[in-house]
Amino acid sequence: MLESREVTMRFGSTVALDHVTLRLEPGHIYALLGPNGSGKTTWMKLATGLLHPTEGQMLWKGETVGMHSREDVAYMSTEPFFYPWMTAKSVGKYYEDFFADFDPARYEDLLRRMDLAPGLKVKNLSSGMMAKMKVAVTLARRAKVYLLDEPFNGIDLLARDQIARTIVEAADSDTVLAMSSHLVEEMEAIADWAVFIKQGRLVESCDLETMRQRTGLSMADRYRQVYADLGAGDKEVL
Amino acid sequence: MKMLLKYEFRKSWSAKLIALGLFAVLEAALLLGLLFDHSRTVGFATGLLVFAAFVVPMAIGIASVVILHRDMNSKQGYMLFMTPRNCYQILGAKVIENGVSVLLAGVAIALLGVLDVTLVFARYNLLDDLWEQLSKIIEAFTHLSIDRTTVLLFFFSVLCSWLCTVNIAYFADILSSSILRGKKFSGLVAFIFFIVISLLVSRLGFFAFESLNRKPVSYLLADAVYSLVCAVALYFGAAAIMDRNLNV
Repeated sequence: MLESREVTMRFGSTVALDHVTLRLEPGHIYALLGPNGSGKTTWMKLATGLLHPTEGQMLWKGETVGMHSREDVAYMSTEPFFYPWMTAKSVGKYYEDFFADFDPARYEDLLRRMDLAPGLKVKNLSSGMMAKMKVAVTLARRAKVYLLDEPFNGIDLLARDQIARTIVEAADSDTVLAMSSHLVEEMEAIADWAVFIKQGRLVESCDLETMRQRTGLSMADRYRQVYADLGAGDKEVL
Repeated sequence: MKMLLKYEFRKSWSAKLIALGLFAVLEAALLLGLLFDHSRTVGFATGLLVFAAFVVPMAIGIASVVILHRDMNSKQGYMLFMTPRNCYQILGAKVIENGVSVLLAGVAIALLGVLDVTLVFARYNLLDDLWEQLSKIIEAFTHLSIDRTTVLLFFFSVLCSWLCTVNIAYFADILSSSILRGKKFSGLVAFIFFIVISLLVSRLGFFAFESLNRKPVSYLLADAVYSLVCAVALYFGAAAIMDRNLNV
């Protein structure tokens, strides 16, 4: 399991995460929810080992995340991160070179399904094409953990449906899949677990079905309730 | 490590292509000058080739620091730091790539220099003079007991000093991109750090081996070992800082 124990992350005087304890178990699709700046991306980057917590521990299978956990964790950042000289094909080759769990055939299939030619140059991709390629290369790994930061960003409705299907395909009983998105209703259709983070603190981590029965609210309505006290400018677009 | 090296070479490829293009243009100018007996062009091209021979290795070093800086400070760094490799391997690949690149560039430039000098002397029927001058130089070297070992040691010592300088630059950049990240004047502090450590390393070496300067082999060997020890210490220090303070 992927776990953060009392994790605090400070950037200078800014506290991005404040004593967050959270466990993500295989077999679930987690929706990490919260307005901009709530700490979702920071949590994912800590889980990938791209950041080190100021306090607390980030663990994968009981061991501190680092070089070895990166063999199992597939992270997709919200920003484009490929080298500009790359093509769709060479991005796949890069992943194949570094990740033993990368499946080139699956990558080719995902590229085809997303209408991305292997010869496309990364620097010429539109934001939508870039988003699709990030999803394709990340989900072409047979990883144990997928961390997808805003996978629906900059993508039209049809492509969004396609990506949602691909995400569901990647999830199985051995896989932890966590994603963040501004599109709460889309996330609700995919996720079975919700994690509400507010101003760096964990508000609630709950099974969605149980939450619906307990509160009588959908995830989107619960989201509105949890973040109701925040200014309109800070709220997510639902 | 093999894969890290492969992509480090790929990342620096465009800078090397520019250098290669520059040499190709200057070389073409020199050859055309020789072909059409245009002495001004020959002189101009020779001057620029000599200048490029000194500048290009330095540019390779600077380009590698720029690539490291980009890896540490832009989203492209995810490509590197999300791979299952540790910071010692990542930085090690960068150091090796730089050392190999500079070595190959040095050898290529030296060979080109020999070729160009031979061509120029041959074009103006001065080959006999060239051999004569070379014989004199070799004779002087023999007289000074400068043998092949000494010459090889000299180049090895230069390479080690280069690696030391590159590691100081990496250390300074990693410092500014991690511990000093987001702080005012972090770039300036890193630059001052680079200058101070470079001077310190050079001065310490000078004082430590001053007594050996009458024995070229011992001096060069001691200097090379000293530079290598400094380079290794700086490499481990920089990788440890990167490992503990990674923030991409």
